Amino acid sequence: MAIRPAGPGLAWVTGIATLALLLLAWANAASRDGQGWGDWGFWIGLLAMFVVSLWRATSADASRSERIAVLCIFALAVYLAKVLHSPAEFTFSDEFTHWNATNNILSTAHLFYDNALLPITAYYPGLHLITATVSELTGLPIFASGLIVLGLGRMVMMATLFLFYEQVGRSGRIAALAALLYAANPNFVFFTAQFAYESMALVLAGVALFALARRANPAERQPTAMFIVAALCLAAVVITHHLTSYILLALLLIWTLVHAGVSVYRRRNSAAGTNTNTITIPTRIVTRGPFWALVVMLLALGVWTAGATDFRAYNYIAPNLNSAAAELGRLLSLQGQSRQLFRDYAGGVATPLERVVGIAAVLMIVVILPFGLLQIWRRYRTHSLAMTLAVVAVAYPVAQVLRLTQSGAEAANRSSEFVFLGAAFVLAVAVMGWMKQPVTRQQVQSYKKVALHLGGVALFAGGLIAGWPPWARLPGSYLVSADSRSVSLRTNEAALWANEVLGPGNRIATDRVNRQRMGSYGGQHTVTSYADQVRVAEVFFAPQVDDRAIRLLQRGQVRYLVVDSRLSDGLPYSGVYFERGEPGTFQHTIPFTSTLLTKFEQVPGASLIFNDGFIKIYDVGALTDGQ
Amino acid sequence: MANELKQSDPLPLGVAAGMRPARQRAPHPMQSHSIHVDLLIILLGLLASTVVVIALLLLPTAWQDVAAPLLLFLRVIVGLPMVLLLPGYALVAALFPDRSIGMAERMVMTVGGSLVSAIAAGVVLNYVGDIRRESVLVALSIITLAASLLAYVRRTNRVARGEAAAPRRITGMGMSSGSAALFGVSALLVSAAVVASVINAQIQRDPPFTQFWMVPATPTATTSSSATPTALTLTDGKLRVGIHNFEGEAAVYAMNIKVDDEVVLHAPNIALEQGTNWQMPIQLDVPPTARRIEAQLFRIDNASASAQSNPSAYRSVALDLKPQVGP
Repeated sequence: MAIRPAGPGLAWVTGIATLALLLLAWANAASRDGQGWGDWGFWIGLLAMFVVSLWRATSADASRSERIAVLCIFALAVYLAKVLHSPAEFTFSDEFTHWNATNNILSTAHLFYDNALLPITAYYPGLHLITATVSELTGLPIFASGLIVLGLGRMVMMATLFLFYEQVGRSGRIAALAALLYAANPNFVFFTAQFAYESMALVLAGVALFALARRANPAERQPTAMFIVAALCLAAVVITHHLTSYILLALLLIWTLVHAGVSVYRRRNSAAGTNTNTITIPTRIVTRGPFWALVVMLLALGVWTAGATDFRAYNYIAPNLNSAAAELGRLLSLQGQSRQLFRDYAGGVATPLERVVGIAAVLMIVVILPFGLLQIWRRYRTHSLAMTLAVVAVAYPVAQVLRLTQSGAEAANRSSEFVFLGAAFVLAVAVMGWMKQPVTRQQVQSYKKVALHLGGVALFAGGLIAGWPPWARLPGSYLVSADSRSVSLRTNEAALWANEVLGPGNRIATDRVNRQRMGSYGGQHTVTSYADQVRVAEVFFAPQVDDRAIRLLQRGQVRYLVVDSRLSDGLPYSGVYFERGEPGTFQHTIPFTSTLLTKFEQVPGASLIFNDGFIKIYDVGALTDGQ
Repeated sequence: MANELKQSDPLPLGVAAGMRPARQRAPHPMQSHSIHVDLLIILLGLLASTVVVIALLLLPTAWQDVAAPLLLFLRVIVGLPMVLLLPGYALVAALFPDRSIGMAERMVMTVGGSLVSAIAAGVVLNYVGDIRRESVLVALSIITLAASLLAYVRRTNRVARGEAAAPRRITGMGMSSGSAALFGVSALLVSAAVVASVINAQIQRDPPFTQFWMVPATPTATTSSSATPTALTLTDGKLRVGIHNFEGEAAVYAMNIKVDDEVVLHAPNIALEQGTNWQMPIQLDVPPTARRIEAQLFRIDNASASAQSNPSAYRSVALDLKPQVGP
């Protein structure tokens, strides 16, 4: 690769990204101390990173290597923004689950060890294996190893997105803009940066798609080698994350079908005597399209799903999809209750500015998409991958409808990192087409550039507003059932105490926040409805520990109850105190009553063995062993 | 836009935005050995990782404790490339012995290939052995060595045919000394910000608290998730009691232990610094008819919470020895 000297633009990007990170570090520290300006510092820092990267990466005079460097710096800076949020330990709910899965590999030296926090994660060990390998060879703890692995992965993902879009769009500016617009998906800054299997699967999927895009290029001199790279990465995705592998399979299927359609279209429209007529359509589909990648994906999925996971992912995903479909059906038939936008489960409402930006971002995408689709039809209709991305982009408006329902909102949110793969490209094509239109006055071109940057900022900010609630963006004081905001020394120390004094592997019932610590640092088997098919949450909601409650504890073989009296301080920010399916899930209107938490003190046979003022641990073995 | 290509043009690979087309130029005969320099570096990296791991195995434990920071530094320096770069680089070198891909593509696939290698090594080791440090190192070394050997053979064959081989060298990354200095300063500042954030995040902001606990000394805890819970028993009268101070300051405690409301043990003065814990095995003479053992903790350095002035305990825990189920 020819490397041109890095221009002053890259220096600006580096300098501003550094200052933005310093501001973010300060804002996070201020927020931990309860100072209100932290929120402004967060937004200014994050948006400064985005604007300067957008300016340089889409600049007409930037070299290819500079665009890639800018995107890598942007990816690293945004990732560090997440690191600065939780610099000392993992704090997001899912991260404890995957910490535990990794720890299980390190402690047992084998895969598929029971992970009660989320059993399915034990059967998709890609991220855990990489992190465990780094930890084994470097001696670093899981936290540091995970940060390094995902930090590198994020930079690779951003570079890969550029290379992928470059193959499709045939323009460095479109590729850079599309890669940055992909970062406007609601899950980019936090969700897909967390230590979780999907974060790693996206990196591997990106490399696979890039290699397939290169292979599809007629000018590629090493198509077989590219195919091998893609096949290896596809197989690794299958081992790493179920949902990403299913969506990748769907994408490959759509691409194959579109490729067939494009081949037919080309054949009909080609002039007589060209080479096109000498290649049959089935041959074209098989040799130049993604057909063999689809075959590899199907084989890998079949082998892993049937051989290693025993179809567990189906049981995990199907109920969520069914629930979303049922709720959407109820909403469409005007029977269901729609979800209130910009309102969290604890009753908090987003600021008017956030609401405006959030809605404006969605509207901008919905309005620009048709223009992009038109451009793609005009410029890329014989390019099957570009057409495939256009098909994917059409899913964006559909996903926005799903946001109006509770289950649908999660499905829409979880799909955004996939839908944006297409939407970002279509938007970039539309915007660059508009930027290229000749103007009579230089001033108009300047206005266009300003509009590009303002629009980009709105999309990036709007995406984050839609995807991550305000209370979770910065650290701060304790909030009830609020994942990263429920982190406390008290919770961690109780879990460590359980591991040391009670020993690992005891069956414990507790709330959502303590469950993640008890199940990871505590080494305990936390009993839940999704892991053990026992709704032990009902024991906590019962007004007294009656026969039904005891039967539930017996069914769950629960030995210890961990009761956190802080649950009665307010409504749960995550929508549940214990787990989904508890009475009032996502619809709590009054805080958990303190008498429901203190009722265990009067139960004969329940021994209070640990007390730190808020967290109390009861030994209920005498109740549950049938006495 | 000068960089734009016409829609009808196939994309010349690696030239999309201002790059010169990749030239297929054969190396000068004198340079034919230099094309393997990168493979040699890979081998040195492998060797370094192996030496560090063997040193860790052979070094006496006492020495390992003394040299822990240095060993950790060495392990990070050689371990990270061993997992995240070398296997992938070797794989990419084997798959692309020519100059058909640019540096960006090579780096992206290098990391991707390394991640895939780590996953593949782990899955295979799970079925044929254990996923341990030594076995992982051996597995990654085999992948890297095999791929390097293949790359060597393929490159040599290309050179023999008079074709270009090996990636272009990276020369200075095209960075001026000023830019390099800026990157260095930025890296230092960001590192400092991260370290400061770690320190800041570890400051205890929770309300101060003390852990107080009491369990039977004989372990009755289940050891597997499928085991049936066991009722709490106290057949031998042995208990363990513990206190952990997280008050943010030194604290002095007093403790009472009662059997059926009768004080049988009084510990008048337990002084603990912030962050320290105290635990003690206790042997009680518990009558068979006893129903309840209660432990009470008082803070006696704080007049308002002392045992004398305030009869309610700061913390209390209790073992119910006579379960009577149901309301």
